[in-house]
Amino acid sequence: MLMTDPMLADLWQKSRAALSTQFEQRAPSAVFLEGSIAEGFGNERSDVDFVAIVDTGLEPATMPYILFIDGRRVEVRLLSPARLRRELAQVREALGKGRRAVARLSWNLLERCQRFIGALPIDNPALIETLQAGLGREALCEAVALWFDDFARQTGRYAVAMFALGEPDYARAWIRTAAFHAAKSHVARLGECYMGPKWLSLQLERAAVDAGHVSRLWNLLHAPREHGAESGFLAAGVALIREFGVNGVSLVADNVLIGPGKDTTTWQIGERVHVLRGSDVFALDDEAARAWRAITFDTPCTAIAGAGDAQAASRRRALIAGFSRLGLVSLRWKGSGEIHARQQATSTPVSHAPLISIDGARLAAGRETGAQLLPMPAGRFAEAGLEMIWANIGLENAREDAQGALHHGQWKVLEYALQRMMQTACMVTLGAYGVTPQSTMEEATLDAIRLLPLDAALIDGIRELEQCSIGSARDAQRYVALADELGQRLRKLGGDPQFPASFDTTSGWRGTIHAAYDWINLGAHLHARFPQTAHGGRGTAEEARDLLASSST
Amino acid sequence: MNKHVLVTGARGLLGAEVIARLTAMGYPVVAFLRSDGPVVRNDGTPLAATPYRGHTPAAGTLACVQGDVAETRLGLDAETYDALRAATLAIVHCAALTSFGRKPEVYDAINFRGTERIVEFAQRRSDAPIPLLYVSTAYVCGERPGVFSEDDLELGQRLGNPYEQSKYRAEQSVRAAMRTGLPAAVLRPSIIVGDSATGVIRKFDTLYTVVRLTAAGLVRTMPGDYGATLNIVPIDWVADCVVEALAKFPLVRGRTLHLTSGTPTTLREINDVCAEFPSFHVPRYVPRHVFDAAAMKPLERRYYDEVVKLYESYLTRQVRFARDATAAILPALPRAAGKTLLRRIFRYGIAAGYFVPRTA
Repeated sequence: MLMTDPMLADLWQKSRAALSTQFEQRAPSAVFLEGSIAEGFGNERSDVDFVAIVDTGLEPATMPYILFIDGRRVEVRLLSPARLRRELAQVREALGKGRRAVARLSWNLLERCQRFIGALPIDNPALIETLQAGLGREALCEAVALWFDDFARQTGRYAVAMFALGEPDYARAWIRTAAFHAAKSHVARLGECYMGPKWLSLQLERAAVDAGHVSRLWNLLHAPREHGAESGFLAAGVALIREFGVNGVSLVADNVLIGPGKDTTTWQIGERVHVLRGSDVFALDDEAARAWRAITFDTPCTAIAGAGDAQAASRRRALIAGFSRLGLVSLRWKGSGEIHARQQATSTPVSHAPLISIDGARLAAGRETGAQLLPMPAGRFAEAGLEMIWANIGLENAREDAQGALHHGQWKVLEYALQRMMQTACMVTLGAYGVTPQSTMEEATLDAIRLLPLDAALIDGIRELEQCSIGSARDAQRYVALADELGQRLRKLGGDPQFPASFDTTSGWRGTIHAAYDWINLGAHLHARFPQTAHGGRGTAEEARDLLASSST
Repeated sequence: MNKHVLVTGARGLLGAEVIARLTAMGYPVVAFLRSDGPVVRNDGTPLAATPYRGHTPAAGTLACVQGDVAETRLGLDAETYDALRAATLAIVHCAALTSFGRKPEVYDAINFRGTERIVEFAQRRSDAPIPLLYVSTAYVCGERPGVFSEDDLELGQRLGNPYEQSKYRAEQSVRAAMRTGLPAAVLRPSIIVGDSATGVIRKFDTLYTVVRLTAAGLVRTMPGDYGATLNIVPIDWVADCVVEALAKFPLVRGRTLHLTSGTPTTLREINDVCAEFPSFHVPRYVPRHVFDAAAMKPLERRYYDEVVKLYESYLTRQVRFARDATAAILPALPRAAGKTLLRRIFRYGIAAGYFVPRTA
């Protein structure tokens, strides 16, 4: 049963009484009912939404008071006349600029204006009408129609894009959204501009929309998923949105171009390709990296994905669709800029450890996705990687020192070198586990014991070497052998059992150093903290690079 | 008697853009060409022209004369040479060999001797020499680090290659002639790249050739410093400046003006922009003293030797070009500078198929 005016007046008085404290110091200048019931929709379960216009010179909070009166849920919002005037003016101004400006209005703002224009005055209708005249019903309907028109166009194009990228289920979901909102645009042009989605069926009825169109819309929205019929389904959707008056969507896959993603950059470390999205790091597997490297902006996605045999092309399409969902690339419509249909999504961060190798991120096994999100921000990733590389170099230097001291019988020098071997080996593994910034050398072994899954033998060995006192060549040889073994075990725990990564050719060392330069490139881009020595510090890319050079010669 | 502006290097990137602007402003222009063919603007549009037959073309039109600055009398017969000289109002000398990798004597013949011949042409009579705008290069600064002012030239700098040597000597000649009364000005553009609005460039050279190889990952490691700077300027602005300098010749006479950016781009910034393109590899810069070309894989070594090595000197330079006179007299730089400009020119390079992804 719809509520009568006396019922509403009574409900408002009860609501006002319930909120007497709130209204004591700020009497409403006017009161209106908005939303479903005011628009002539709704039922006995519908909320009753009152808005009190209060003029205190301040902006009241947007959150409503929620009351339960006579078995009804009642919401009371406070709005200032200044805000109503300002927001109506914003819509009017956007209308003056055209469709794109209207499309940039937020849903919330436009809906607030719509609810106000469609309001039912309860108290002081004169003030309400004066305020409403700031935009007017006709202009409001035009704005709502344009807003839905743009949304339907964008989502329709996105559906075409998903289809072009071999994602029929996504295409299906989005062409439904497009058709639904094309219908919303259509009814808004006929004066039905309530924005919420739930009363569309009643809006279509009241606007006397062609029954054939309505029937096709419901068929599209409720059709069961049918394998092999995706193309026809999409075509039906595209045709329907056009009939609802939304232009600019066609089933031409070549219209879908690839564009840059926001704040996305590509950094290769060794042979591993990493894509940064803001402060997120995605590591690509080899197949994804090949697809990624083939991307050139402003090129049809079909051209990028289509090379090679059908299976490879299909896989590449799926990868590009994944890149677009992650926001690593944008999808654009030829001649019309970016397709604004959805927000970027993200994948589950990988959760394995160790995370970092000399060649960048370590991929998690058993994942289908070609782009794996690291569970740490880019700056920490770069700094941990740099610290790991530097600690590896420090370990090599300490090992050389130990060998020299052993050879010359310099036991005190050897004791110090062995301590340093343990400290730097722990720092290697801490870095591989993503620990950064690392503490000082004094705490390196303590941190490793506290933070890493070290077994008892490894812990005992580290402690023994840190406090060893060498009195003979035999002791010395035993301790050097132990340090080598523990260093190797710690490196293995970090995932890279040897450094440089490859000894098989003279280029092995060079390849490792090159990977280190790649880390420097990434670190420079991110303004990362560069180690000055194996002890850590705050150097620059230039200094780090020179240090690396001096370590490699 | 009607007089024309003589523009050398008319088929080059800059020359053609200067000519287009001068004719649009109503100047009669004679284009001096070494090779036969149309004068083509940076966007590919050919300019309408008639052959030069000893008469100044009509206002706002273009006539072409074929010759060679590397030859005696500019490669013209005596009659044409004299006729041309008698009717020349001003000279814009853009002709130069700018691509790298040629023998020193070729740069010497075209850039140095060629400029001497143009100076000689301009010094028609000691009482009425022809005004000359000489397009030099900011990189006559050579490898000397620090601030290089517009008045600076002979600072004992080491010049990076035969191109710079030839331009340095040419500028010495022009300056010497200026001291003995030649009304001239020296314009020193830095590295000219694509259009500031569209990124369009008709001929890919210098910076582009190196980026082409590094972006494709064909050369991944180079000797260089992250803090080294490249000074890049868009072709349209440089051409605007040349034309403006001609229009304001009394103001620029006797001066040297740096057609350079006030904010040079570091190699690190170039890396950052490269990283914005999925298909681009980002090169590594290693200190020169440890760089070892012999350790490169054969293909990378070949590309390094044949191309990158020619430009290597620029990867360690850190110079700032003072531009006081330019800022005071010539048009302001377009807003698209630094990384914004790089993005545009890279995007165009990709669209034009010059920067090709290596993997597909």
